[in-house]
Amino acid sequence: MTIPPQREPQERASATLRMNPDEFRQYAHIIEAEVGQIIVGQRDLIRQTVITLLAGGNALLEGVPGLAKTTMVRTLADVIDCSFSRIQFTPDLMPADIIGTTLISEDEQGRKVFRFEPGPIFTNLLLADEINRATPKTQSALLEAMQEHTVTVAKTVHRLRSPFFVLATQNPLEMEGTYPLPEAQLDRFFFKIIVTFPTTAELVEIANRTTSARTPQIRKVASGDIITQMQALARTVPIASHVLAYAARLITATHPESKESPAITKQYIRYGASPRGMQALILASKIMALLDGRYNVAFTDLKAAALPALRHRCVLNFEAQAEGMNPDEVVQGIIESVKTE
Amino acid sequence: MSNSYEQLRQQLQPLGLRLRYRDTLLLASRTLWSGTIGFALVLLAGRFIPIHNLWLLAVIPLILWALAMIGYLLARQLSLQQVARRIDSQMELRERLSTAIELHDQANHDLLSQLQQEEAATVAQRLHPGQIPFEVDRQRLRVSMVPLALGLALLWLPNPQNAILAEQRQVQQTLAQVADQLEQLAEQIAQNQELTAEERALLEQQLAELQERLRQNAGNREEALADLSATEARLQQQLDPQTDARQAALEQMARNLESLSGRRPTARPDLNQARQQLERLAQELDTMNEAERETLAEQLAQQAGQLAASDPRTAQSLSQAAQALRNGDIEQAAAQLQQAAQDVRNAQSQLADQRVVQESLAQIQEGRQHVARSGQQSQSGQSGQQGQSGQSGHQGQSGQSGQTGSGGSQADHLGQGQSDTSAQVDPNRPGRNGSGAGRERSDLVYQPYNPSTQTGERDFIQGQQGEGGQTQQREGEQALPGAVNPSLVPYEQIFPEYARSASEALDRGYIPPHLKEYVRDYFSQLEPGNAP
Repeated sequence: MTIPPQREPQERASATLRMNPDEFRQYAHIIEAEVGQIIVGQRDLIRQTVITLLAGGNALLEGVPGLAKTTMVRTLADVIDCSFSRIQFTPDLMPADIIGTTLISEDEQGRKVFRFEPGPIFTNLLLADEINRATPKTQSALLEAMQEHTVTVAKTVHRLRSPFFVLATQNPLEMEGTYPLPEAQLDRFFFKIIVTFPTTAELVEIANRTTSARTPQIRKVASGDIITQMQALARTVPIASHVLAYAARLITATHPESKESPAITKQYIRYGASPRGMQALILASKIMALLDGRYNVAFTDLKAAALPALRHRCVLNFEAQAEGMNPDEVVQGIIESVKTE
Repeated sequence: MSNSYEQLRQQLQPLGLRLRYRDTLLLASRTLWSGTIGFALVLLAGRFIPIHNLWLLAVIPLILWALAMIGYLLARQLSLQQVARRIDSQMELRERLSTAIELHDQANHDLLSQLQQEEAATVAQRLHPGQIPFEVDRQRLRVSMVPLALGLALLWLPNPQNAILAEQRQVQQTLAQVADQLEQLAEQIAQNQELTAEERALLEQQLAELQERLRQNAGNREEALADLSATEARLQQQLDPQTDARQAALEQMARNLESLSGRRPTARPDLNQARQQLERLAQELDTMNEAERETLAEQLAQQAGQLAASDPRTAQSLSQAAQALRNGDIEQAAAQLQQAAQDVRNAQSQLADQRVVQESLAQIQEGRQHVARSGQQSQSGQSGQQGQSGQSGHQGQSGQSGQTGSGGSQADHLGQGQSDTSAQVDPNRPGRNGSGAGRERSDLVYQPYNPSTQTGERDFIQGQQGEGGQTQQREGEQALPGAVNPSLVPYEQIFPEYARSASEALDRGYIPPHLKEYVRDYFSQLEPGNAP
């Protein structure tokens, strides 16, 4: 697969929408392919991570340890030629450890001055590893950065680099020593991606790749600027009003107090998805349409995006937990009950 | 971009038409049951109640359903956006067409919008109406076939109500004929100058009312018989039972007067001549001698005696004239003879009225017999054709309604057939199986106990002739049920009350439906004039 010829910097700067849909698709597929050289299988994981990246959102990866979550993020950073930082979240991690702190230092004239020392958050790709092992206070240090792409320290607002992309990993909540992410934090994740255990064949391939002398070489096939152009193009994908209405009905259907919500919602959901959930749904659908070679959003795109976009935004009630229901089953039930027309 | 939209629009138009046909066909398959159920229900109802034009009525639900489907096809106009959405969904085009239509409407000109519309137009080029299959709801279609099959089976199987409908049609025709005859009779009455104006108006009114009711009748024999019987009863009330006797007595008086004047008595003397003879006698009294006056007084007294029962007024005038002659009061005798002549004139007019009433009565009775017979013969014929050992057509009937010109004497006979219920009766030979029992109008009959006549109205019945030529007229007491009394009541006068009571009972449902035919047949056999 060939990399599309990159335009001159001044040309790129003048027109962010110069990228056409074919180039978009080519870049996306090349990124996926390069990541796929390192990550065996996990096509959905790679696709959803790329979608989150191209949507300008943040992803929460959930899976047991050892499923190459960190490897994938690191590989992705290499492929798109962006700066990368990794923060290992621990219970004693403090917010300043993430966003940085103000230090007293001497300037050239020997005067004592305050200097802001940026934390690891000042990067393009931030891997927040095992985010649910930190306390909610530390977790919340990411809120502004994730939403506004800025950091405020001592009344000074520091803008983060573009593109900025947080990939947080977490272990399943039932594991010991974890703090559940607050709803406000969860809502800021564009997708929650479930990392599944590889199949036997994939395990064999993983063993072959990682235990031999030969290490796959990956190429830098994109850049931060290209990612920004792709993000801009994705937002221009048209969506028909009735498709948009369907997305709205899907979101409304997650609210148990709504008259239009199906029985499964009323039975198992305590809080439904926020408008941010709808934004994620539509934006993801637009990128899916482009990746599929279309120039418009279809119902199928919305249905495909609904699970990763809504599963962490629907808070289940006690009855659902008691019956062992997981959010995916409930969201799937909602998708099936809401008619497209 | 406009070109892309135009291509898209042209491609979607035939697809939209195809969708309309498809929707209509689907709706038709889903709603056909409503029409077929209506079809079957009407035919089923036609098994229990007689319905004219049943087949036409049964197809009305199907026609209405078909019209509704045509209306749906014409009214179901799909917009371009609706067509695009339906095609997107039907052919899994991932909302390409509907998005393109909407983008054109929004006049969006960015790169992706243009690409999207061009792609939609390209996709639409590959579409053709044949790719949209017609769809029917097979399950509901199968359900719809059940009442349709039931309805067709009901149509194919013989309907017992057809006999009733045929009977009703025949009754209606008969009623029309009877009404025509009554109309002719009314015209004759209108031209009859012998009648008094009051009597003519009364008769015309009664006949006109009866005609109207008969013409409005939709083939209900019981109702028609009740109407005829009611009018007949009213005419019976106008009928003077002494008419015949009065006519005979006056004719006898006329013959005696002819003998008195020396002429040969005729078989059918003219009452005008009798009146003129009385006037001439009144004028000739002065010229008679004593012996002639004595003889005349004797004859006048004898005439008065003969007329006393039937025409008391004339008899009284003659009697007083005779008495005056015996007393030698010539003027008084002449005045009484003039009075007697005037009484004869009045009696003539009254007899003419009675004749017309009798003619009307005879006409109505004849019509009632026709109505009573109408439909029954065809019914019995049909039952014979269908091979049903039945309950209809078992009675033998024959009627003779004899009527002499001016006398109005009637001899009505009634044949009451009793036949084996399992036997088939040839409708063309009525009465052969029955054992007839004739009824004369003066037969002793039992007058029914009628509670409705208990208050006020009383029947005046002619008494038996007493000794010594004297006639007693006495007021008869109302006969109680089961009472046997020597009263003589004309059979034709009593029968309408029975028939009316039976008709009312039939109308009000006192009699079980399966026995109505028996009751109707029974009273048809009892009709005056139905003699074997």
